[in-house]
Amino acid sequence: MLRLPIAPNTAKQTADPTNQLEYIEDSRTQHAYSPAVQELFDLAVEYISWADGQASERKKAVWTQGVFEAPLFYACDTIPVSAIDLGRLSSGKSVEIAESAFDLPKETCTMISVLLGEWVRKGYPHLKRIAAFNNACEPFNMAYELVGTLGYDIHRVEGVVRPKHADPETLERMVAFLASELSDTARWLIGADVNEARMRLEIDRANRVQERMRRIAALRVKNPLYVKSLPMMFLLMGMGHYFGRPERFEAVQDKVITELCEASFIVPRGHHAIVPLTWIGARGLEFGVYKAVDDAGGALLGWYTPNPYDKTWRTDVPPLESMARFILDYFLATSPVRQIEGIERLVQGSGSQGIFFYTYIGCAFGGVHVEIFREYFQKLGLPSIGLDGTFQVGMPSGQLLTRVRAFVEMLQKK
Amino acid sequence: MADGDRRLMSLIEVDMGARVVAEDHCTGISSYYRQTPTSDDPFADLAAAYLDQAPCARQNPISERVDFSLELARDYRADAVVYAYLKFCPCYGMTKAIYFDRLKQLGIPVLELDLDYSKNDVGQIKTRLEAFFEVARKNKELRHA
Repeated sequence: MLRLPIAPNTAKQTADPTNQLEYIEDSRTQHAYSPAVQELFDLAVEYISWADGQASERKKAVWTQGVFEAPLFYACDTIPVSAIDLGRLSSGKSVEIAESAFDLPKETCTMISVLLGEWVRKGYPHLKRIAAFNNACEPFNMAYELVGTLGYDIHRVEGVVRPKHADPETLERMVAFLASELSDTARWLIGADVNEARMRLEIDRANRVQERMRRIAALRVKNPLYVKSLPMMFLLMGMGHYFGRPERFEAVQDKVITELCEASFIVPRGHHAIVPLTWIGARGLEFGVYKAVDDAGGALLGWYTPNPYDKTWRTDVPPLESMARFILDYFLATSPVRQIEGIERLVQGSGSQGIFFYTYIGCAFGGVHVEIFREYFQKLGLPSIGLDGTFQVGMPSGQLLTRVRAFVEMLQKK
Repeated sequence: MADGDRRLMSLIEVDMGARVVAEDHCTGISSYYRQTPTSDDPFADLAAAYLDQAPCARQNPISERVDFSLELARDYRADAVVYAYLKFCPCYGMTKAIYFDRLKQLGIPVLELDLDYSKNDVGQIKTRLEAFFEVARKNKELRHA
Protein backbone atom coordinates (compact mmCIF):
# COMPACT_ATOMS: atom_id res chain seq x y z
CA MET A 1 0.00 0.00 0.00
CA LEU A 2 1.35 3.41 -0.89
CA ARG A 3 1.78 5.81 2.04
CA LEU A 4 1.54 9.31 0.71
CA PRO A 5 1.88 12.76 2.20
CA ILE A 6 -1.49 14.36 2.81
CA ALA A 7 -2.25 17.11 0.34
CA PRO A 8 -5.32 19.31 0.40
CA ASN A 9 -8.07 18.12 -1.89
CA THR A 10 -9.50 21.25 -3.42
CA ALA A 11 -11.96 19.49 -5.68
CA LYS A 12 -15.50 20.79 -5.40
CA GLN A 13 -18.04 18.29 -4.08
CA THR A 14 -21.05 17.89 -6.37
CA ALA A 15 -24.27 15.91 -6.28
CA ASP A 16 -23.98 12.33 -7.45
CA PRO A 17 -23.99 12.11 -11.25
CA THR A 18 -26.84 10.20 -12.87
CA ASN A 19 -25.62 9.64 -16.42
CA GLN A 20 -22.37 9.30 -18.35
CA LEU A 21 -22.07 12.93 -19.35
CA GLU A 22 -22.64 13.99 -15.76
CA TYR A 23 -19.90 11.60 -14.64
CA ILE A 24 -17.59 13.26 -17.14
CA GLU A 25 -18.62 16.69 -15.86
CA ASP A 26 -18.02 15.50 -12.31
CA SER A 27 -14.59 14.24 -13.31
CA ARG A 28 -13.85 17.54 -15.04
CA THR A 29 -14.58 19.27 -11.74
CA GLN A 30 -12.41 16.80 -9.86
CA HIS A 31 -9.62 17.53 -12.36
CA ALA A 32 -10.11 21.28 -12.48
CA TYR A 33 -6.35 21.63 -11.99
CA SER A 34 -5.53 19.69 -15.18
CA PRO A 35 -5.85 21.35 -18.60
CA ALA A 36 -4.76 18.04 -20.17
CA VAL A 37 -7.69 16.13 -18.68
CA GLN A 38 -10.11 18.86 -19.78
CA GLU A 39 -8.80 18.59 -23.32
CA LEU A 40 -9.02 14.81 -23.22
CA PHE A 41 -12.69 14.97 -22.25
CA ASP A 42 -13.31 17.55 -24.99
CA LEU A 43 -11.89 15.11 -27.53
CA ALA A 44 -13.86 12.18 -26.16
CA VAL A 45 -17.21 13.93 -25.93
CA GLU A 46 -16.94 15.52 -29.37
CA TYR A 47 -15.56 12.42 -31.08
CA ILE A 48 -18.57 10.83 -32.76
CA SER A 49 -20.38 14.03 -33.69
CA TRP A 50 -17.12 15.49 -35.00
CA ALA A 51 -16.51 12.39 -37.14
CA ASP A 52 -20.09 12.53 -38.38
CA GLY A 53 -19.56 16.16 -39.31
CA GLN A 54 -16.38 15.26 -41.19
CA ALA A 55 -18.27 12.54 -43.06
CA SER A 56 -20.98 15.02 -44.01
CA GLU A 57 -18.21 17.12 -45.59
CA ARG A 58 -17.21 14.09 -47.68
CA LYS A 59 -14.19 13.11 -45.60
CA LYS A 60 -13.74 9.36 -45.32
CA ALA A 61 -15.04 8.00 -42.01
CA VAL A 62 -15.94 4.39 -41.30
CA TRP A 63 -17.37 2.60 -38.28
CA THR A 64 -15.11 0.00 -36.74
CA GLN A 65 -14.26 -1.45 -33.33
CA GLY A 66 -11.67 1.20 -32.61
CA VAL A 67 -9.10 -0.91 -30.82
CA PHE A 68 -6.19 -1.65 -33.16
CA GLU A 69 -7.26 -0.35 -36.56
CA ALA A 70 -5.79 3.16 -36.33
CA PRO A 71 -2.58 2.67 -38.39
CA LEU A 72 -4.44 1.09 -41.32
CA PHE A 73 -7.32 3.54 -41.28
CA TYR A 74 -5.25 6.68 -40.98
CA ALA A 75 -2.91 5.41 -43.69
CA CYS A 76 -6.03 5.21 -45.83
CA ASP A 77 -7.07 8.77 -44.90
CA THR A 78 -10.09 7.34 -43.13
CA ILE A 79 -11.31 8.34 -39.69
CA PRO A 80 -11.95 5.23 -37.59
CA VAL A 81 -15.26 5.81 -35.86
CA SER A 82 -15.45 3.52 -32.88
CA ALA A 83 -18.77 1.73 -32.68
CA ILE A 84 -18.05 0.88 -29.06
CA ASP A 85 -17.53 4.51 -28.18
CA LEU A 86 -20.81 5.39 -29.86
CA GLY A 87 -22.50 3.14 -27.33
CA ARG A 88 -20.47 4.53 -24.48
CA LEU A 89 -21.94 8.01 -24.72
CA SER A 90 -25.34 6.83 -25.86
CA SER A 91 -28.84 8.00 -25.08
CA GLY A 92 -30.64 6.56 -22.08
CA LYS A 93 -33.24 5.14 -24.44
CA SER A 94 -30.88 3.19 -26.71
CA VAL A 95 -31.54 -0.23 -25.23
CA GLU A 96 -35.27 0.27 -25.44
CA ILE A 97 -34.98 1.44 -29.06
CA ALA A 98 -32.89 -1.59 -30.04
CA GLU A 99 -35.17 -4.04 -28.25
CA SER A 100 -38.12 -2.56 -30.03
CA ALA A 101 -36.49 -2.36 -33.48
CA PHE A 102 -34.99 -5.85 -33.48
CA ASP A 103 -37.07 -7.69 -30.89
CA LEU A 104 -33.86 -8.50 -29.01
CA PRO A 105 -34.00 -11.08 -26.24
CA LYS A 106 -33.67 -9.66 -22.75
CA GLU A 107 -30.35 -11.40 -22.18
CA THR A 108 -28.66 -9.58 -25.08
CA CYS A 109 -25.43 -7.94 -24.00
CA THR A 110 -26.13 -4.27 -23.32
CA MET A 111 -22.93 -3.21 -25.07
CA ILE A 112 -24.49 -4.51 -28.26
CA SER A 113 -28.03 -3.28 -27.70
CA VAL A 114 -27.01 0.32 -26.92
CA LEU A 115 -24.93 0.33 -30.06
CA LEU A 116 -27.80 -0.97 -32.19
CA GLY A 117 -30.14 1.49 -30.51
CA GLU A 118 -27.86 4.39 -31.40
CA TRP A 119 -27.52 3.27 -35.01
CA VAL A 120 -31.29 3.12 -35.28
CA ARG A 121 -31.88 6.35 -33.35
CA LYS A 122 -29.52 8.56 -35.29
CA GLY A 123 -29.41 6.80 -38.65
CA TYR A 124 -26.10 8.47 -39.54
CA PRO A 125 -26.84 9.20 -43.20
CA HIS A 126 -23.20 10.12 -43.86
CA LEU A 127 -21.67 7.25 -41.91
CA LYS A 128 -23.01 4.18 -43.59
CA ARG A 129 -19.93 1.96 -43.88
CA ILE A 130 -18.81 -0.55 -41.26
CA ALA A 131 -15.55 -2.49 -41.17
CA ALA A 132 -16.62 -5.55 -39.22
CA PHE A 133 -13.70 -7.39 -37.69
CA ASN A 134 -14.89 -10.91 -37.06
CA ASN A 135 -12.55 -11.34 -34.11
CA ALA A 136 -15.18 -9.57 -32.04
CA CYS A 137 -17.69 -11.53 -30.01
CA GLU A 138 -20.65 -13.34 -31.54
CA PRO A 139 -23.28 -10.81 -30.43
CA PHE A 140 -21.21 -8.14 -32.17
CA ASN A 141 -21.19 -10.19 -35.36
CA MET A 142 -24.95 -10.61 -35.12
CA ALA A 143 -25.32 -6.87 -34.57
CA TYR A 144 -23.57 -6.31 -37.89
CA GLU A 145 -26.07 -8.66 -39.51
CA LEU A 146 -28.94 -6.69 -38.03
CA VAL A 147 -27.60 -3.28 -38.88
CA GLY A 148 -26.99 -4.50 -42.41
CA THR A 149 -30.77 -4.60 -42.80
CA LEU A 150 -30.83 -0.84 -42.16
CA GLY A 151 -28.79 -0.11 -45.27
CA TYR A 152 -25.30 -0.07 -43.77
CA ASP A 153 -22.52 -1.33 -46.02
CA ILE A 154 -20.71 -4.05 -44.05
CA HIS A 155 -17.21 -5.20 -44.94
CA ARG A 156 -16.26 -8.39 -43.12
CA VAL A 157 -12.66 -8.81 -42.04
CA GLU A 158 -12.27 -12.50 -41.32
CA GLY A 159 -10.28 -13.15 -38.19
CA VAL A 160 -8.10 -15.95 -36.96
CA VAL A 161 -7.72 -17.14 -33.40
CA ARG A 162 -4.22 -17.82 -32.19
CA PRO A 163 -4.22 -21.17 -30.44
CA LYS A 164 -2.52 -21.80 -27.14
CA HIS A 165 0.11 -23.88 -28.87
CA ALA A 166 0.83 -23.01 -32.48
CA ASP A 167 3.84 -24.30 -34.35
CA PRO A 168 5.75 -21.52 -36.14
CA GLU A 169 4.62 -22.64 -39.58
CA THR A 170 0.94 -22.53 -38.63
CA LEU A 171 1.39 -19.15 -37.05
CA GLU A 172 3.02 -17.78 -40.20
CA ARG A 173 0.08 -19.05 -42.27
CA MET A 174 -2.28 -17.22 -39.90
CA VAL A 175 -0.25 -14.04 -40.20
CA ALA A 176 -0.31 -14.25 -44.00
CA PHE A 177 -4.06 -14.85 -44.08
CA LEU A 178 -4.80 -11.97 -41.74
CA ALA A 179 -2.47 -9.65 -43.65
CA SER A 180 -4.36 -10.48 -46.84
CA GLU A 181 -7.66 -9.69 -45.12
CA LEU A 182 -6.25 -6.33 -44.01
CA SER A 183 -5.04 -5.66 -47.53
CA ASP A 184 -8.59 -6.32 -48.79
CA THR A 185 -9.88 -3.95 -46.15
CA ALA A 186 -7.63 -1.19 -47.44
CA ARG A 187 -8.98 -1.77 -50.95
CA TRP A 188 -12.52 -1.60 -49.58
CA LEU A 189 -11.69 1.65 -47.79
CA ILE A 190 -10.01 3.51 -50.62
CA GLY A 191 -10.34 1.36 -53.72
CA ALA A 192 -6.57 0.84 -53.89
CA ASP A 193 -3.70 -0.81 -52.06
CA VAL A 194 -2.63 0.87 -48.85
CA ASN A 195 0.33 3.20 -49.18
CA GLU A 196 2.93 1.22 -47.25
CA ALA A 197 5.21 4.18 -46.57
CA ARG A 198 2.26 6.04 -45.08
CA MET A 199 1.26 3.07 -42.99
CA ARG A 200 4.80 2.78 -41.64
CA LEU A 201 4.48 6.35 -40.39
CA GLU A 202 1.20 5.46 -38.73
CA ILE A 203 2.81 2.43 -37.09
CA ASP A 204 5.50 4.74 -35.75
CA ARG A 205 2.74 6.90 -34.36
CA ALA A 206 1.04 3.88 -32.77
CA ASN A 207 4.31 2.98 -31.08
CA ARG A 208 4.74 6.54 -29.81
CA VAL A 209 1.22 6.43 -28.40
CA GLN A 210 1.95 3.10 -26.71
CA GLU A 211 5.22 4.37 -25.27
CA ARG A 212 3.56 7.48 -23.87
CA MET A 213 0.85 5.36 -22.28
CA ARG A 214 3.48 3.23 -20.55
CA ARG A 215 5.06 6.44 -19.28
CA ILE A 216 1.72 7.71 -18.01
CA ALA A 217 1.05 4.37 -16.30
CA ALA A 218 4.48 4.49 -14.60
CA LEU A 219 3.99 8.10 -13.48
CA ARG A 220 0.57 7.25 -12.06
CA VAL A 221 2.15 4.62 -9.84
CA LYS A 222 4.07 7.45 -8.18
CA ASN A 223 1.14 9.87 -8.12
CA PRO A 224 -1.95 7.70 -8.47
CA LEU A 225 -4.81 10.14 -8.26
CA TYR A 226 -3.59 13.13 -10.23
CA VAL A 227 -5.21 11.54 -13.26
CA LYS A 228 -8.00 9.48 -11.78
CA SER A 229 -9.63 6.37 -13.15
CA LEU A 230 -12.17 7.82 -15.59
CA PRO A 231 -9.78 9.97 -17.61
CA MET A 232 -7.31 7.10 -17.54
CA MET A 233 -9.94 4.90 -19.12
CA PHE A 234 -10.51 7.51 -21.84
CA LEU A 235 -6.75 7.81 -22.42
CA LEU A 236 -6.65 4.06 -22.94
CA MET A 237 -9.59 4.07 -25.32
CA GLY A 238 -8.09 6.91 -27.28
CA MET A 239 -5.11 4.71 -28.06
CA GLY A 240 -7.35 2.71 -30.39
CA HIS A 241 -8.61 5.56 -32.57
CA TYR A 242 -7.15 8.84 -31.25
CA PHE A 243 -10.73 10.16 -31.16
CA GLY A 244 -10.37 10.86 -34.87
CA ARG A 245 -7.67 13.47 -34.35
CA PRO A 246 -4.23 11.87 -34.00
CA GLU A 247 -2.18 15.03 -33.55
CA ARG A 248 -4.46 16.38 -30.86
CA PHE A 249 -4.50 13.06 -29.04
CA GLU A 250 -0.72 12.87 -29.06
CA ALA A 251 -0.58 16.44 -27.75
CA VAL A 252 -2.96 15.51 -24.93
CA GLN A 253 -0.78 12.56 -23.99
CA ASP A 254 2.26 14.86 -23.89
CA LYS A 255 0.42 17.34 -21.69
CA VAL A 256 -0.67 14.58 -19.31
CA ILE A 257 2.95 13.45 -18.98
CA THR A 258 4.19 17.00 -18.37
CA GLU A 259 1.53 17.60 -15.73
CA LEU A 260 2.23 14.28 -14.01
CA CYS A 261 5.93 15.07 -13.88
CA GLU A 262 5.31 18.44 -12.28
CA ALA A 263 2.30 17.63 -10.10
CA SER A 264 2.17 17.38 -6.34
CA PHE A 265 0.51 14.39 -4.72
CA ILE A 266 -3.25 14.22 -4.74
CA VAL A 267 -4.91 12.05 -2.12
CA PRO A 268 -8.60 11.39 -1.67
CA ARG A 269 -10.51 13.19 1.03
CA GLY A 270 -10.46 11.32 4.32
CA HIS A 271 -7.90 8.71 3.34
CA HIS A 272 -4.24 8.63 4.19
CA ALA A 273 -3.38 5.67 2.03
CA ILE A 274 -4.16 4.57 -1.47
CA VAL A 275 -4.79 0.99 -2.48
CA PRO A 276 -3.15 0.20 -5.84
CA LEU A 277 -5.41 -1.97 -7.97
CA THR A 278 -5.60 -3.57 -11.39
CA TRP A 279 -8.66 -3.52 -13.63
CA ILE A 280 -9.13 -6.51 -15.91
CA GLY A 281 -11.80 -6.99 -18.53
CA ALA A 282 -14.22 -4.65 -20.25
CA ARG A 283 -13.76 -0.91 -20.01
CA GLY A 284 -17.36 -0.42 -19.16
CA LEU A 285 -19.94 2.27 -19.34
CA GLU A 286 -20.48 2.39 -15.63
CA PHE A 287 -18.37 5.40 -14.88
CA GLY A 288 -19.77 5.36 -11.37
CA VAL A 289 -17.72 2.26 -10.63
CA TYR A 290 -14.51 4.14 -11.37
CA LYS A 291 -15.66 7.01 -9.20
CA ALA A 292 -16.49 4.60 -6.38
CA VAL A 293 -12.99 3.11 -6.55
CA ASP A 294 -11.37 6.56 -6.44
CA ASP A 295 -13.64 7.85 -3.69
CA ALA A 296 -13.03 4.76 -1.55
CA GLY A 297 -9.29 5.35 -1.67
CA GLY A 298 -8.37 2.91 -4.41
CA ALA A 299 -6.38 3.70 -7.52
CA LEU A 300 -6.60 1.71 -10.73
CA LEU A 301 -2.95 1.60 -11.78
CA GLY A 302 -2.88 -1.51 -13.96
CA TRP A 303 -5.32 -1.90 -16.84
CA TYR A 304 -5.83 -5.06 -18.84
CA THR A 305 -8.55 -3.96 -21.23
CA PRO A 306 -9.11 -3.99 -24.99
CA ASN A 307 -6.42 -1.29 -25.15
CA PRO A 308 -3.15 -2.98 -24.21
CA TYR A 309 -0.25 -0.61 -23.60
CA ASP A 310 2.45 -3.20 -23.15
CA LYS A 311 2.67 -4.04 -26.85
CA THR A 312 4.84 -2.74 -29.65
CA TRP A 313 4.13 -2.74 -33.35
CA ARG A 314 6.96 -4.35 -35.28
CA THR A 315 8.77 -2.04 -37.69
CA ASP A 316 11.06 -4.65 -39.23
CA VAL A 317 8.33 -6.31 -41.31
CA PRO A 318 5.89 -5.00 -43.95
CA PRO A 319 3.19 -2.84 -42.31
CA LEU A 320 0.22 -5.12 -43.01
CA GLU A 321 2.17 -8.03 -41.59
CA SER A 322 3.05 -5.91 -38.57
CA MET A 323 -0.63 -5.25 -38.03
CA ALA A 324 -1.49 -8.93 -38.42
CA ARG A 325 1.13 -9.84 -35.83
CA PHE A 326 -0.12 -7.16 -33.47
CA ILE A 327 -3.66 -8.50 -33.75
CA LEU A 328 -2.56 -12.09 -33.26
CA ASP A 329 -0.79 -11.04 -30.12
CA TYR A 330 -3.85 -9.15 -29.00
CA PHE A 331 -6.12 -10.55 -26.38
CA LEU A 332 -9.25 -10.78 -28.51
CA ALA A 333 -7.47 -13.14 -30.88
CA THR A 334 -5.68 -15.37 -28.50
CA SER A 335 -6.26 -17.97 -25.80
CA PRO A 336 -6.89 -16.57 -22.32
CA VAL A 337 -4.14 -18.81 -20.96
CA ARG A 338 -1.64 -16.94 -23.15
CA GLN A 339 -2.79 -13.65 -21.67
CA ILE A 340 -2.01 -14.41 -18.05
CA GLU A 341 1.67 -13.60 -18.37
CA GLY A 342 0.89 -10.08 -19.60
CA ILE A 343 -1.63 -9.54 -16.83
CA GLU A 344 0.89 -10.65 -14.24
CA ARG A 345 3.39 -8.09 -15.53
CA LEU A 346 0.77 -5.37 -15.20
CA VAL A 347 -0.16 -6.41 -11.69
CA GLN A 348 3.46 -6.48 -10.57
CA GLY A 349 4.39 -3.27 -12.39
CA SER A 350 1.60 -1.37 -10.70
CA GLY A 351 2.23 -2.92 -7.27
CA SER A 352 -1.44 -3.87 -7.18
CA GLN A 353 -2.90 -5.20 -3.95
CA GLY A 354 -6.07 -6.44 -5.58
CA ILE A 355 -7.81 -7.00 -8.88
CA PHE A 356 -11.20 -6.03 -10.29
CA PHE A 357 -12.52 -8.39 -12.94
CA TYR A 358 -15.23 -6.61 -14.88
CA THR A 359 -17.55 -8.20 -17.45
CA TYR A 360 -20.95 -7.40 -18.84
CA ILE A 361 -23.88 -9.48 -17.72
CA GLY A 362 -24.54 -12.07 -20.40
CA CYS A 363 -21.08 -11.80 -21.95
CA ALA A 364 -19.95 -15.39 -22.27
CA PHE A 365 -16.86 -14.25 -24.10
CA GLY A 366 -15.45 -12.12 -21.29
CA GLY A 367 -17.00 -14.11 -18.47
CA VAL A 368 -15.21 -17.36 -19.25
CA HIS A 369 -11.84 -15.65 -19.71
CA VAL A 370 -12.22 -13.87 -16.41
CA GLU A 371 -12.88 -17.12 -14.56
CA ILE A 372 -9.62 -18.56 -15.90
CA PHE A 373 -7.74 -15.44 -14.81
CA ARG A 374 -9.40 -15.38 -11.40
CA GLU A 375 -8.49 -18.94 -10.63
CA TYR A 376 -4.87 -18.26 -11.49
CA PHE A 377 -4.54 -15.17 -9.29
CA GLN A 378 -6.51 -16.76 -6.49
CA LYS A 379 -3.84 -19.46 -6.30
CA LEU A 380 -1.21 -16.73 -6.03
CA GLY A 381 -3.11 -15.32 -3.05
CA LEU A 382 -3.98 -12.01 -4.69
CA PRO A 383 -7.45 -10.80 -3.66
CA SER A 384 -9.87 -10.13 -6.46
CA ILE A 385 -13.52 -9.37 -6.99
CA GLY A 386 -15.72 -10.06 -10.00
CA LEU A 387 -18.06 -7.30 -11.11
CA ASP A 388 -20.99 -7.95 -13.44
CA GLY A 389 -21.78 -4.69 -15.13
CA THR A 390 -24.00 -3.39 -17.86
CA PHE A 391 -23.63 -0.94 -20.70
CA GLN A 392 -26.77 1.00 -19.87
CA VAL A 393 -26.70 4.72 -19.35
CA GLY A 394 -27.13 5.72 -15.73
CA MET A 395 -25.75 4.98 -12.31
CA PRO A 396 -24.40 1.54 -11.43
CA SER A 397 -26.57 -0.50 -9.12
CA GLY A 398 -26.22 0.12 -5.40
CA GLN A 399 -25.19 -3.48 -4.94
CA LEU A 400 -22.32 -3.11 -7.39
CA LEU A 401 -21.06 0.06 -5.73
CA THR A 402 -21.31 -1.50 -2.28
CA ARG A 403 -19.18 -4.43 -3.42
CA VAL A 404 -16.58 -2.08 -4.90
CA ARG A 405 -16.36 -0.01 -1.73
CA ALA A 406 -16.25 -3.07 0.52
CA PHE A 407 -13.42 -4.59 -1.51
CA VAL A 408 -11.28 -1.44 -1.35
CA GLU A 409 -11.99 -1.01 2.36
CA MET A 410 -11.03 -4.60 3.02
CA LEU A 411 -7.69 -4.06 1.31
CA GLN A 412 -7.09 -0.83 3.21
CA LYS A 413 -7.41 -2.71 6.47
CA LYS A 414 -4.99 -5.46 5.48
CA MET B 1 -34.21 -25.27 -32.51
CA ALA B 2 -31.33 -25.77 -30.17
CA ASP B 3 -29.74 -29.18 -30.37
CA GLY B 4 -29.95 -31.54 -27.42
CA ASP B 5 -33.30 -30.36 -26.21
CA ARG B 6 -35.27 -33.41 -27.30
CA ARG B 7 -38.03 -32.87 -24.74
CA LEU B 8 -39.49 -30.22 -27.05
CA MET B 9 -39.77 -32.76 -29.87
CA SER B 10 -41.55 -35.10 -27.52
CA LEU B 11 -43.96 -32.37 -26.40
CA ILE B 12 -44.78 -31.46 -30.00
CA GLU B 13 -45.17 -34.96 -31.40
CA VAL B 14 -46.38 -37.00 -28.43
CA ASP B 15 -48.33 -34.51 -26.35
CA MET B 16 -49.61 -32.22 -29.10
CA GLY B 17 -50.06 -34.81 -31.82
CA ALA B 18 -48.35 -32.58 -34.38
CA ARG B 19 -45.61 -33.72 -36.76
CA VAL B 20 -42.23 -32.06 -37.17
CA VAL B 21 -41.62 -32.26 -40.92
CA ALA B 22 -38.25 -30.53 -41.06
CA GLU B 23 -35.60 -29.51 -38.54
CA ASP B 24 -33.36 -26.57 -39.26
CA HIS B 25 -31.10 -26.15 -36.27
CA CYS B 26 -27.51 -26.50 -35.10
CA THR B 27 -27.31 -30.13 -36.19
CA GLY B 28 -30.39 -30.21 -38.39
CA ILE B 29 -30.90 -30.98 -42.01
CA SER B 30 -28.92 -28.11 -43.52
CA SER B 31 -25.65 -30.03 -43.65
CA TYR B 32 -27.25 -32.61 -45.94
CA TYR B 33 -28.31 -30.05 -48.52
CA ARG B 34 -24.75 -29.63 -49.74
CA GLN B 35 -22.29 -31.90 -51.47
CA THR B 36 -18.67 -32.24 -50.47
CA PRO B 37 -16.47 -31.42 -53.47
CA THR B 38 -14.36 -34.29 -54.79
CA SER B 39 -11.33 -32.72 -56.44
CA ASP B 40 -7.72 -33.97 -56.30
CA ASP B 41 -7.16 -32.12 -53.06
CA PRO B 42 -9.18 -33.90 -50.37
CA PHE B 43 -8.06 -31.56 -47.59
CA ALA B 44 -9.24 -28.52 -49.54
CA ASP B 45 -12.49 -30.35 -50.28
CA LEU B 46 -13.02 -31.11 -46.63
CA ALA B 47 -12.19 -27.54 -45.64
CA ALA B 48 -14.71 -26.23 -48.17
CA ALA B 49 -17.30 -28.66 -46.91
CA TYR B 50 -16.74 -27.73 -43.28
CA LEU B 51 -16.98 -24.03 -44.07
CA ASP B 52 -20.26 -24.50 -45.94
CA GLN B 53 -21.77 -27.22 -43.83
CA ALA B 54 -20.70 -26.26 -40.33
CA PRO B 55 -23.84 -26.63 -38.29
CA CYS B 56 -23.54 -23.49 -36.18
CA ALA B 57 -25.65 -20.59 -37.41
CA ARG B 58 -22.69 -18.25 -37.03
CA GLN B 59 -21.08 -19.72 -40.12
CA ASN B 60 -23.45 -18.24 -42.68
CA PRO B 61 -24.87 -14.81 -43.42
CA ILE B 62 -28.34 -14.31 -41.99
CA SER B 63 -29.91 -13.90 -45.44
CA GLU B 64 -28.77 -17.40 -46.48
CA ARG B 65 -29.95 -18.91 -43.22
CA VAL B 66 -33.40 -17.37 -43.47
CA ASP B 67 -33.76 -18.29 -47.14
CA PHE B 68 -32.91 -21.88 -46.33
CA SER B 69 -35.40 -22.08 -43.45
CA LEU B 70 -38.17 -20.65 -45.60
CA GLU B 71 -37.33 -23.00 -48.42
CA LEU B 72 -37.71 -25.92 -46.01
CA ALA B 73 -41.01 -24.58 -44.73
CA ARG B 74 -42.29 -24.34 -48.30
CA ASP B 75 -40.87 -27.67 -49.52
CA TYR B 76 -42.29 -29.57 -46.58
CA ARG B 77 -45.54 -27.57 -46.64
CA ALA B 78 -45.27 -26.68 -42.98
CA ASP B 79 -48.44 -25.34 -41.39
CA ALA B 80 -46.51 -23.60 -38.64
CA VAL B 81 -42.99 -22.95 -37.36
CA VAL B 82 -41.70 -23.38 -33.84
CA TYR B 83 -38.73 -21.06 -33.40
CA ALA B 84 -36.86 -22.41 -30.40
CA TYR B 85 -33.50 -21.13 -29.27
CA LEU B 86 -31.29 -21.44 -26.27
CA LYS B 87 -31.09 -18.46 -23.94
CA PHE B 88 -27.87 -16.48 -24.50
CA CYS B 89 -27.42 -17.82 -28.04
CA PRO B 90 -27.03 -14.62 -30.06
CA CYS B 91 -27.00 -16.42 -33.41
CA TYR B 92 -30.66 -17.38 -33.11
CA GLY B 93 -31.83 -15.05 -30.35
CA MET B 94 -30.72 -11.74 -31.80
CA THR B 95 -31.77 -12.49 -35.36
CA LYS B 96 -35.22 -13.90 -34.65
CA ALA B 97 -37.06 -10.77 -35.83
CA ILE B 98 -35.67 -11.24 -39.34
CA TYR B 99 -37.05 -14.79 -39.44
CA PHE B 100 -40.40 -13.70 -38.03
CA ASP B 101 -40.82 -10.94 -40.62
CA ARG B 102 -40.13 -13.31 -43.51
CA LEU B 103 -42.40 -16.03 -42.12
CA LYS B 104 -45.14 -13.47 -41.61
CA GLN B 105 -44.83 -12.48 -45.27
CA LEU B 106 -45.43 -16.11 -46.20
CA GLY B 107 -48.41 -16.30 -43.86
CA ILE B 108 -46.84 -19.03 -41.73
CA PRO B 109 -47.61 -18.71 -38.00
CA VAL B 110 -44.59 -18.89 -35.74
CA LEU B 111 -44.16 -19.58 -32.04
CA GLU B 112 -41.08 -18.25 -30.28
CA LEU B 113 -39.68 -20.35 -27.45
CA ASP B 114 -36.57 -19.35 -25.57
CA LEU B 115 -35.34 -22.40 -23.77
CA ASP B 116 -32.60 -23.69 -21.58
CA TYR B 117 -31.86 -27.25 -20.58
CA SER B 118 -33.70 -27.00 -17.27
CA LYS B 119 -36.87 -28.98 -16.67
CA ASN B 120 -38.84 -26.44 -14.69
CA ASP B 121 -40.45 -24.73 -17.66
CA VAL B 122 -42.10 -27.80 -19.22
CA GLY B 123 -45.58 -26.86 -18.01
CA GLN B 124 -45.29 -23.36 -19.38
CA ILE B 125 -43.99 -24.58 -22.75
CA LYS B 126 -46.78 -27.12 -22.97
CA THR B 127 -49.42 -24.45 -22.36
CA ARG B 128 -47.95 -22.21 -25.02
CA LEU B 129 -47.70 -25.08 -27.51
CA GLU B 130 -51.34 -26.04 -26.89
CA ALA B 131 -52.53 -22.51 -27.55
CA PHE B 132 -50.31 -22.16 -30.60
CA PHE B 133 -51.36 -25.42 -32.23
CA GLU B 134 -54.99 -24.72 -31.55
CA VAL B 135 -54.74 -21.46 -33.48
CA ALA B 136 -52.60 -23.04 -36.20
CA ARG B 137 -55.12 -25.86 -36.70
CA LYS B 138 -57.99 -23.38 -36.90
CA ASN B 139 -56.07 -21.37 -39.49
CA LYS B 140 -55.43 -24.48 -41.52
CA GLU B 141 -59.10 -25.47 -41.41
CA LEU B 142 -60.08 -21.99 -42.55
CA ARG B 143 -57.61 -22.15 -45.42
CA HIS B 144 -59.02 -25.48 -46.59
CA ALA B 145 -62.67 -24.59 -46.00
